[in-house]
Amino acid sequence: MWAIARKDLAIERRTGEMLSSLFLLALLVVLVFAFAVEPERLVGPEIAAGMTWATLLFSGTLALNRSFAIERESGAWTALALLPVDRGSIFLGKMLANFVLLGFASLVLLPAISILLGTHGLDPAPLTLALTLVLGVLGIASIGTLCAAIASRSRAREVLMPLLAFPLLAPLLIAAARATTGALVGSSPSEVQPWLAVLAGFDMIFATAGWLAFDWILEE
Amino acid sequence: MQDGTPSLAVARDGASVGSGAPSGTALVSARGLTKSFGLLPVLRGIDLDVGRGEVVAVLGPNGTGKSTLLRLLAGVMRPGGGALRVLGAELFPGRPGPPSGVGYLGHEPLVYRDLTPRENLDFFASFLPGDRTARVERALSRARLEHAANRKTHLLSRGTLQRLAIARATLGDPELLLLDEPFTGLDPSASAHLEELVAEARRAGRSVLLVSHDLDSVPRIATRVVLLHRGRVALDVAPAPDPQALATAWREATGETPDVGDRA
Amino acid sequence: MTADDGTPRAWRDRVLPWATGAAMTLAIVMVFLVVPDEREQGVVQRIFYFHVAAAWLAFAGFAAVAVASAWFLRTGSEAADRLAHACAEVGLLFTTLVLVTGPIWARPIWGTWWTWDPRLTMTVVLWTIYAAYLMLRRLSAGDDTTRRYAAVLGIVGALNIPLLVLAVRLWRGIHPAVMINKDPEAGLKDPSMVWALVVANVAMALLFDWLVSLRTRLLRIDREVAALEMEDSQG
Repeated sequence: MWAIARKDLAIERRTGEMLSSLFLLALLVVLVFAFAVEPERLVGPEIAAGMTWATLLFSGTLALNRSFAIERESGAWTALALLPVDRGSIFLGKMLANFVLLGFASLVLLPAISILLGTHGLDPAPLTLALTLVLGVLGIASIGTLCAAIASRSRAREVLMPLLAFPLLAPLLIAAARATTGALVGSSPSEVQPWLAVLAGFDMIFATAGWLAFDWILEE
Repeated sequence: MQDGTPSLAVARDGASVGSGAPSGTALVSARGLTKSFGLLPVLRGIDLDVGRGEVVAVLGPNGTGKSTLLRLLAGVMRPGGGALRVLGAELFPGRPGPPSGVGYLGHEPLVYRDLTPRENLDFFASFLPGDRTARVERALSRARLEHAANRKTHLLSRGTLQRLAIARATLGDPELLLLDEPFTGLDPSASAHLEELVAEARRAGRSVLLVSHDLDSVPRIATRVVLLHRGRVALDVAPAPDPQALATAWREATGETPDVGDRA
Repeated sequence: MTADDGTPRAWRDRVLPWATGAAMTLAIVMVFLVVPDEREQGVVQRIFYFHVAAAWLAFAGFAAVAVASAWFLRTGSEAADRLAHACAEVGLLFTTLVLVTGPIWARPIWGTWWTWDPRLTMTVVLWTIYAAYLMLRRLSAGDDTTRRYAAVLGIVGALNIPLLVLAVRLWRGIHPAVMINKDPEAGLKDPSMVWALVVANVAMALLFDWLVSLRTRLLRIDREVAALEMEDSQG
């Protein structure tokens, strides 16, 4: 599991494909919103929180496609299926690598979006924010990894992957955006506890589902 | 995955004690194996036992399922029906799971283009027991890849890439080696090296299945010939006949000349 | 469609259309002629019987997708795969019915076609989940691997439902449901109303079953035709 995550991160360090496309796309999403809606109306913690998760979702899912495109190239997918390890741990390894990449992206995106939207008078609660980000990004990584694997075999995988992932991510998006809004105005973890509970439940259910499902996914 | 492990261990013990097939114990046991792609049936019921120390050449016209058979045995593809045991582990029917002790060389190199050969081997070796660095260095020197070890994999020549693919397939000293057209793209000296590798595996009591198109080299390498035709075993002879006899047998079994062109 | 292939299912295909027609007629008669107007909402509330029945059946259909998917993963049975496929299609159709009848009911009562009410929100998300499920099947080669992937998605989609319900409820509050209305004079006061709901449910269930049985048969025939064409082109 660690070896697979390390390998993915090594490839990303070498090519920088995922992160660079992710940041560029995230910037474009923010610009599109600013042009489409008056930027002056895009203020307040709700907007900053919502925009962060929306951009992370849009740019993240497209970047996650890469995570299995590299396995499809040169037939490395087959090499993964040949590994004498539990296939669930292959899922966990891919998920971990995606978690690290998306987590890094979210750490940059949240302050960048707050600055771009000129959100004033925020008093973020670091602990709440950290918990929300970790749980939320973990959820995107779990569903995203599973859906990217399922979509990777289709000729239309670029379209299919967000089609599969977005509806499944609806509960996560609702909970993560509310919890982040709370965190930005200084709520303690116990104040946004229901949302954190939804996020934690989501992570547990879908990390387990992916771990179990990979037995059925990896073989052609 | 969890429930697969104990039965695997038990079956392994059984395999090392029992004596089923004539030439040692059966490493591969396939019964009525089928596989379709969409609606197109590729394998229509394969019965095959491979014993310890056998080198089986899998021959046949294009499109008769040779590669598919190897992928099923490698556990990277799931059969449509039948029963399959490889190295004592039940691959089908039953819950899918990773094979163990199987080396597979496919048409594609099965390596990461963005990593160097050394990084690739290091990654795959990290799932194997023992000293990782020593294993990687041994594989690199065995495949004579030292000079290319730190180059970019996507810039390697066809032959070097094939040597890397062979190094990856044999990294774990597999009990069962599955080679799909291994001689493609290899220069003569590398071909000789691969032949030596196969002979070595045979002496060590390991088994090899190889798909080949080269009738001339088959008797030299293989101890047994299996000819597939239209998804079935049309011919199964041991020891491997000489090229002339093989061509005649091929004609009799399939009604076609052993022209291995691009006819589907 | 008229081909009688003599399978044990054939009698169902003969009985179901008549049973569905009869139950549906009875439901329509009850809803429009027997049942009195609901106290607060008036005549529009009569759409409730079909709306709720469609919603329940859609839910049951999506549960059936998950069960059939698990069955397929365990046994590799193609019949289970076809059942999952057909249930997803018909479930999606019923969800569409819910999404159409909902606004028709909501417009006079709530004064708006759409609100981000928890049940509406949840229903529209469910619709997208199973639309995506059918897209996966459409955009992939129809082989064993596609079936396995679809089965995984069918199970994961169902796992999502409880979380979705929880998140949406926390977010948008509780539905102003007719059945849990606090007003003692409103709601399903008349016993005939409950009976109408039961009959509407039975009618919808029969319709669902009939459509699923037609679709599974059609999927099987499609496959047989394609197999024959393949054989033919192979010579």
